[in-house]
Amino acid sequence: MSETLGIAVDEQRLAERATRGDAQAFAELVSRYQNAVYRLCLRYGANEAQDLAQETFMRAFVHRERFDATRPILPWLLTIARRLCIDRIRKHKPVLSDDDRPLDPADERPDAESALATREQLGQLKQAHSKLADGPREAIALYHWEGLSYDEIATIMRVPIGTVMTWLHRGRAQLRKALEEAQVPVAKGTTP
Amino acid sequence: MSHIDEQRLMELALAVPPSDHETTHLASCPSCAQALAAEQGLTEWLATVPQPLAPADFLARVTNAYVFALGRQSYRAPLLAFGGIAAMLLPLALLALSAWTNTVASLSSWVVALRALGEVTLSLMRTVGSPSSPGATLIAVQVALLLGALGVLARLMWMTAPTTQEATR
Repeated sequence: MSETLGIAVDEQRLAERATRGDAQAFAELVSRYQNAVYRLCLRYGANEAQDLAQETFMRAFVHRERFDATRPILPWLLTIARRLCIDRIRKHKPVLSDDDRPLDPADERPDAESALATREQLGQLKQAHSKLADGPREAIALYHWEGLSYDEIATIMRVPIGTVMTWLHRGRAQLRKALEEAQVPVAKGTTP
Repeated sequence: MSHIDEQRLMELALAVPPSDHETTHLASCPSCAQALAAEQGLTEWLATVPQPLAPADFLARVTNAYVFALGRQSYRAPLLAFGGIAAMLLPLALLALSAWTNTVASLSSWVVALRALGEVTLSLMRTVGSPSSPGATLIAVQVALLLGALGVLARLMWMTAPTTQEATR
């Protein structure tokens, strides 16, 4: 709890410094959250992910007076990013679908590369995830990969917590089914 | 005890501690224990999925954009303040002019002009009070200028229109 509070205070100080025009503080905030913001944008619109992520940070800076300093920054940034992505999707359909997206070299960790079967299985899991509907897909990504709570996901997605839990459950069931169809053993202790 | 439902199994797999009843049931029900193992397995699987990272030059790109935005704000704020003052003075001058040329003004034209003045004053306050949102302030000043211009136009139209007595002559 005290650690969380410490991080929040630290974030608040950084945000205040960035607001006053401290480029170093702004860079520190971007450095902390760039991957999570970029990944969300990537899930919504593969081609423009970098532009959308940059726009997210700039919007956050322009509308910094709307930031509630008592709350963590990441959910706020992801809320902005999601709105931007949805607006962009409404204007233009993404050119690349998730299925067509090439594997990011950064995805290929040495341990994953060592076993082709494992890579294929991970690829199947990612593909199955990308085919999920928006709600379950984001709920799974935000919970399992960004480490956000139900409450924070509900705020970002603008839905009740119960819906987040339903999305998580539905998405996980679909992923499990996809993995079983691909004959990937899904049980405790069978991870790559 | 009946079987544990799927959503509850998911919660248990997401590190929610089981109740005593659930622990007892899981120990004696292979079906539920297997389902829970599958849920836990999926949780472990999801944790292993490597995640893409932002491109290496992303931080520099965003920081440059931030520095550029700061620079733009530094020259836009005084410009907007000047615009606000000019916008406030314009209707005031025109009101004075109309008051000088006509001793009695119609109520409607004064209402329009005063409203424009109020809008302009408000925009000026926004310019001074919130330099962090120059876009909104700029729009407010433009709207105020437009209202001021409309007020002046209405006032001028009233001045040039013949009075009822003149029209009937």
